[in-house]
Amino acid sequence: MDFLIAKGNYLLAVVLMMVGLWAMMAKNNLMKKILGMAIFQPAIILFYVSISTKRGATLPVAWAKLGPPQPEQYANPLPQVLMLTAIVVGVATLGVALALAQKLYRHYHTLEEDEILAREAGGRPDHE
Amino acid sequence: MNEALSGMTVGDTCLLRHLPVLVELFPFFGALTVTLIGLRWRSLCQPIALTALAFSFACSMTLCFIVAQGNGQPVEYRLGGWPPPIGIIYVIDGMNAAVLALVSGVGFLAAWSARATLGLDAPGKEPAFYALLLLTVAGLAGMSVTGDAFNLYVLMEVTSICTYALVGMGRGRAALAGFNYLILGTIGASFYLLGVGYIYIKTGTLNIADLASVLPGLRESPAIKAGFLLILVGSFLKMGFFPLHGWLPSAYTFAPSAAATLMAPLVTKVWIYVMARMLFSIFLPEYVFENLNWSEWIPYFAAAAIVFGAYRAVRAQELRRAFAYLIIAEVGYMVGGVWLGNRNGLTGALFHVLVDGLMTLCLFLFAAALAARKLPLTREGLPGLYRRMPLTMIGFTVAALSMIGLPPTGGFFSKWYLLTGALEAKSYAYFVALILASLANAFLFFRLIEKAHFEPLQDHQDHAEHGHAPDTSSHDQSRHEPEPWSITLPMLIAATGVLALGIFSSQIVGGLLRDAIPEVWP
Repeated sequence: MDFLIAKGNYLLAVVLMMVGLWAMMAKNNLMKKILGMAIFQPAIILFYVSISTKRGATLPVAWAKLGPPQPEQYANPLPQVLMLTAIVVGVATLGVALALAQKLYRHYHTLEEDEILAREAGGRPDHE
Repeated sequence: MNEALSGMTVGDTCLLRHLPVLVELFPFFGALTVTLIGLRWRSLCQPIALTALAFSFACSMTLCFIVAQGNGQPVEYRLGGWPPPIGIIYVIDGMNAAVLALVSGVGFLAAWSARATLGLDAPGKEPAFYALLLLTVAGLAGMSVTGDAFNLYVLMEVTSICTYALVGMGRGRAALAGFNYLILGTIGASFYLLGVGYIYIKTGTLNIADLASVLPGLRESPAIKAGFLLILVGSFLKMGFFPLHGWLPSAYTFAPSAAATLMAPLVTKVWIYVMARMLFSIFLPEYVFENLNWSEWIPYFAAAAIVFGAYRAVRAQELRRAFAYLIIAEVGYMVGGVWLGNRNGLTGALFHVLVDGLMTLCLFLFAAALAARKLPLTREGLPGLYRRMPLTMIGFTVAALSMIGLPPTGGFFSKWYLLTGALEAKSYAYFVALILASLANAFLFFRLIEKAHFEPLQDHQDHAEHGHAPDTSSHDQSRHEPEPWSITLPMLIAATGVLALGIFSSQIVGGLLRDAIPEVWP
């Protein structure tokens, strides 16, 4: 039980990551793959944010009135700053994925990967 | 060390100091300009892109000379003036100076040749295409110079997102190929990010030089081992290393010709460089080759990749699919060379990055030339080409000879280093696979060259069946149809580069690559 409380965040991150990875690899519907990606990336963000938390820590602001900064009182800001960038990257990837899915839907009127491939296979014999 | 530039005779001027960042900034601001200007004046897009890339290439060549004159002393650039462990730095040594020149040079040639096929593949999308092309080049250049593990992640995603969009721009199955590339690429990048997280927990730093100084004390840590594995699997996915190559053949087969011309030569090669950087600048060879007991197995995987790629390339019907499988084989060459764990293998792999970049560019430009002339991209499109576009075929032949590994070309020398390294490391499976791949390439390319050289013009036969009056005129016209010059000229430059890399191989290896490989490397 202690283990669950102490490592809960990490366990959750791993579970989410596996759910997302499974959806990205195994699902046939492109939208479900995108959803898998939208679960997979935040799992890693959760992991990063978890490593920077600290009980009783305060905001990492160096303020002259508080006296000289004492690192042990602050939460580590770096992983959170990194994750801001990672969130932006995730949004951009998601946007491109949705745009591609939209393009595919306009062309084939379906988002099932096997149906798209079956429709293309008529014209092209050399497939992998 | 950090003031390497000021010690040079080349000059102390302000601009020279900022060269490492200018290489990325020119394409970056070029991309912004193209997007804005392209709204009104579409015909200005290509000139702007070419100007930006020409400046970028000039900067990277200058850096090459500075590094070569500085006897392997790296040039450092502090972004925003922040000192290294806190701020991001760019570090340029002999190895990535050469990769940088390759990236901006190939980017320039690809942008030059893009016009001929862009109208066919993605009409009306010039601003978007050139902006994405410039951003891809900026991202790849950044990936090759950055000295910060997280900055590397950001730049790899800048590159990847642009390449997904570039692939998806094409017709038909291109969007699906781009989508699958996006899914697998995202998994690869996320694995890398997670691996960096593991390493950050243990070390508390993201600076590559800082990591290298902290990590030796943490050799036994399972977290470091897991982080290393995650980073490695992520980079294998991104570079298309067999058996994680699933996205590569379709992406490069169905992408617009102009996009494939940019991506195929660069993306996988820059990833090889990044992997080499991971091995010997972050984790250090002692860790990789002594602490990890599975490192001697990687050359076997590389051998499998080479055999698989060569086999599928020979079997493939479409030219671009064949070339894509050749890339998978070439990735096998380079991964194997890096993981042989000796100086010759690493030198061969890094030299092959340069050679392979240029010869793959030639091959995909050849495919683009066929597409520009509306010929089928299979063997059926080839007959009579030596008469019809002799200069293009010269470029193709040089690239083919280099792929096979014949002496005057760069491909021979890189393969020679790799074979020597394989013998030193007693990695015979990899050695045999290299020889087999050469034979397979010889079979593949001589079959193509034979078809192009000895079979008569197809048009001639077609028109002959239709009647007599228009026969001679149309026949003559197709025969004298000019070469697609905007493709032929870049191709000849790239072919000259392949030959020059061969002829000056000792200078390049001695002047740039040797110094960059650390002394500890056996």
